[in-house]
Amino acid sequence: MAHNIELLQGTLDMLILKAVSLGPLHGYGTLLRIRQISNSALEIPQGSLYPALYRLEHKGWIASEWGESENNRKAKYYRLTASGRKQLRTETEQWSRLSDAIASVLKANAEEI
Amino acid sequence: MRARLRSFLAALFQRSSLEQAMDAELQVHIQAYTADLVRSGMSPDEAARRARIEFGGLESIKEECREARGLKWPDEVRQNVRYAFRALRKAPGFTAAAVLSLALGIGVNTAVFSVVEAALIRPLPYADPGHLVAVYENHVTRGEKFEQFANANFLDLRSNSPSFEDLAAHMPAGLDLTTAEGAERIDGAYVTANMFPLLGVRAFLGRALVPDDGELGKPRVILLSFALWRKKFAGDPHIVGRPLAMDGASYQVIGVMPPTFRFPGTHEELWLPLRFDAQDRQQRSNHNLDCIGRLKPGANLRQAQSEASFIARGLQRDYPDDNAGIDFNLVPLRESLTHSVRGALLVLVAAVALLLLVACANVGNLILTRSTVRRRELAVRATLGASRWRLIRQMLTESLCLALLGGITGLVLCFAVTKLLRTSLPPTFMPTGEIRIDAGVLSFGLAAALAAGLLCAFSPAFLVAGADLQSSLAGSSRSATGSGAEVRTRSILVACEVSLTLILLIGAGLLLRSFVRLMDVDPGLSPGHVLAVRFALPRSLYSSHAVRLSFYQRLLARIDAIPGVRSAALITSLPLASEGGSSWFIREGRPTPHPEELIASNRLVSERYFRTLGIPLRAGRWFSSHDGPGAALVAVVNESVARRFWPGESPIGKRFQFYDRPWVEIVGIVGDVRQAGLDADATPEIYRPYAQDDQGWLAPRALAIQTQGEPLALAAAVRREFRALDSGIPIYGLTTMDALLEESVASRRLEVLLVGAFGCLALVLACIGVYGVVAYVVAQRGKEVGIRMALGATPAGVTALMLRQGLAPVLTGLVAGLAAALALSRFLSSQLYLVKATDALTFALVASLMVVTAVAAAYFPARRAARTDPNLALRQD
Repeated sequence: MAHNIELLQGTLDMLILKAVSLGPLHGYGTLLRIRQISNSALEIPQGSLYPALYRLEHKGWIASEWGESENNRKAKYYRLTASGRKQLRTETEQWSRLSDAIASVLKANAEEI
Repeated sequence: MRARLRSFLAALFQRSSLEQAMDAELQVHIQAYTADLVRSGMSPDEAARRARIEFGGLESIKEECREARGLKWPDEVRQNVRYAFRALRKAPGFTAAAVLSLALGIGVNTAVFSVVEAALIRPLPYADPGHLVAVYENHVTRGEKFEQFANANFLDLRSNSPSFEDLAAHMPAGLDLTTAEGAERIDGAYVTANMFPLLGVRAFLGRALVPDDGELGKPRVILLSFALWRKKFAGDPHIVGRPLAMDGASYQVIGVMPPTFRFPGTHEELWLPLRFDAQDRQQRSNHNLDCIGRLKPGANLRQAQSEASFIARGLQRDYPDDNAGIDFNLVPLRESLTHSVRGALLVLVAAVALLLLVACANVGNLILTRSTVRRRELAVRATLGASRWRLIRQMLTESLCLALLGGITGLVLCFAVTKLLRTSLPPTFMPTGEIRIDAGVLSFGLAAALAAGLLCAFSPAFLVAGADLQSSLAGSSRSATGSGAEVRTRSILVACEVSLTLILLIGAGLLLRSFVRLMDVDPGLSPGHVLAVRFALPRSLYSSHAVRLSFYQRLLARIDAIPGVRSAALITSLPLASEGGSSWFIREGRPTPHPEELIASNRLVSERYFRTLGIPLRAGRWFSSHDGPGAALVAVVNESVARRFWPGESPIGKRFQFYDRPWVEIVGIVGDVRQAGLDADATPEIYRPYAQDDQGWLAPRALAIQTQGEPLALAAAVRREFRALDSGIPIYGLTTMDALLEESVASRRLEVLLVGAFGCLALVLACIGVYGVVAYVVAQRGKEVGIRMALGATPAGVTALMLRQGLAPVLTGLVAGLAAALALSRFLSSQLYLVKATDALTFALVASLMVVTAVAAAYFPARRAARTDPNLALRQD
């Protein structure tokens, strides 16, 4: 677990939105997909996944319905809603502005100032 | 926002499916993870264990999920409510006492509100009632602002005032309806034919009167009330168009009004068109029309009033003989219908509001007692992590639950009280229809319950907020820090209870003293053993003076012959019943200032009237059998006439004349009689023998009979004699003079009874409060008392000590209550009679009553302290 990166506060929601934007997922699937895309760099703590999903659903950004899982079990699938898509876009923009800014600060060296 | 609300509501109302889904979803996750772990080579058991551990606390995750759905506070409320009810069930004595106190307060408040609603809030049952106005003549010189209209004044105002859409008038009419069962007197009214369109009401069957019905020469038509139609015609659906015999003439029924309809300010049961002939239209000296107007949309009362006054000034100029000093007075219809009850109603509202406050203080005290017992429990909860605010919310929930239980119980009481009020209040309290418990009244009850709940919780919650809960867990239940603040809070509550109760009791005391004063008033006659009955002589058959005279003589002879009758007499209208009209007169050889100023009630009586009713002769003589039709015209006046119109001299031997009638000589003076009820001053009255001047419209219509035994025992015999003479004569209103006297004070009696009962209830509650605070102090200081007694304090000394401490808040409350009552009682002035609002005797008596009961309430627990066994007390915990 040492190679995992600590998640920044507030980024979990964004990651979940992104994960489900690629196609409907159940809770465990979300976890796996984030791990897979990040090459196992990002590990979502299992305990905080569900409260986050419920919070996002409560805000209307994702919607859920029951369906069949890969191994023929009933599972609750989440998908992105229209307002969730908008939210994801805003958050992505904000995130890239922030990370650009932070990256440029961190890259700075004495000569450039 | 909408999405959140939807998700919240779904979560709230589909709670069990939410929980199931959550469980299932989390299980799916754990199973999937376990399967993955097994696939990576772990043993199934080990995998399941790992999966569970890594997943984390299932319950706390679920809790977080619920919170994410906004379910935190509804869950807490649910928990609090469940907890509250469990706690209340565990303390049935406390719960019963608190619920009953609150039920009492909420119940009577809701009941009184139902009256307020019917009288002052519910719209009048007419179209656009806000534009309806009652219009009166304002006789400025006599200071009479609410006089009836003369025909011509009404017609002039109607045709000249631009602010009114229309004006209509009505005039009461007693009519004798003849059906197969015989003749019966029905209260009805003549109304100008535009009245019903003006009120905007429609008939239930057939049609209401329309302007065309008011034309002279049109067929005689009549409109029935729903009640009369049901009662007299068995709800005959084909009644419209049928002829009815009334007063010897035939009328055609044109319609029946709906059951909810009631005519403004009256309880009349049938209506006929009022038709003016040419002579009626000129008539300005008889004032007998009640007038209702509808303002045009956009017109306001002030503007209409100034226009009406302008028209009145024109009439004063044009008709100085009749209209000098006559202005018009406009009053919103509702105000005019309710002004007589407003004062009494506000007194009732104030009384029940005070009672509710006392009940709240009392329940606050009870809750406080309990929270002492529960201090440890609260401390444990605080230690386990409940925030102070959470504990306050818990206490709040408990007292709201109590209040809701109280409200529900109070509703039962409310139904009972409302039923009582509905039957005992005069109809003037309900101009908009029945007093009923409707959605408005129920929501008031709910609001009162919630307010009471919050109020009750206030002081205990305050105490929890300020208390040092940790130390009370560490120390004993008698820890000194908590009890000091508590004794203070309790003392404040008791002081409040005492002062509020005192205000209420002083109000009740003032009303009671007024009532006693009123009952002491000499009505001017002896009402005992007098039977009274009213009758109507059909006009067509008894049109001539001679016919009437012979009827009266035969009637008196027959009645006198009934065994048990001492004396019988006839009069135009019965005393004490606010009946009878007045006429103006002039004195011989004196200038007449203005005819309106010489007015006296004009009564025709038979020879033995004064003796029958026990009206004392002050000077001169009574009528005798010689004062017949041919003899010199004579009159007897009352003392008010002598005092007012012949001041400083004897009127005996003086002559006067009524309007255009012949001169009459005064031969006697009799005592004043309170004609309009005990609380109305006596007015000038002139009596004359009916045999000398009977004008048909003013003929005796009432019979008073002095009996040897119970008056009502002769009722059947009296009816029989009437029937034997003429079965076509309707007799009605058979009663006793005692009952009439009683009726004239009935609403005051009811007010005294209600306010007095509320006062007594408040006193009981306040005593419970005082008892509680002393008992508490005794319990708190048990050890101290034990020490004192071990050191030699006497039981009397200990009792006195406890009493002193218990009664300190009573004294504070007493002083505050007296001051407040002194400031507030003047609002009661309009309801008082011959008693000042600051009546020292009442204040002193009520205050002593309060002190005595408080001392009694405090004495029992205080004495218990004195009986403490020092050994036991010192050993207790």
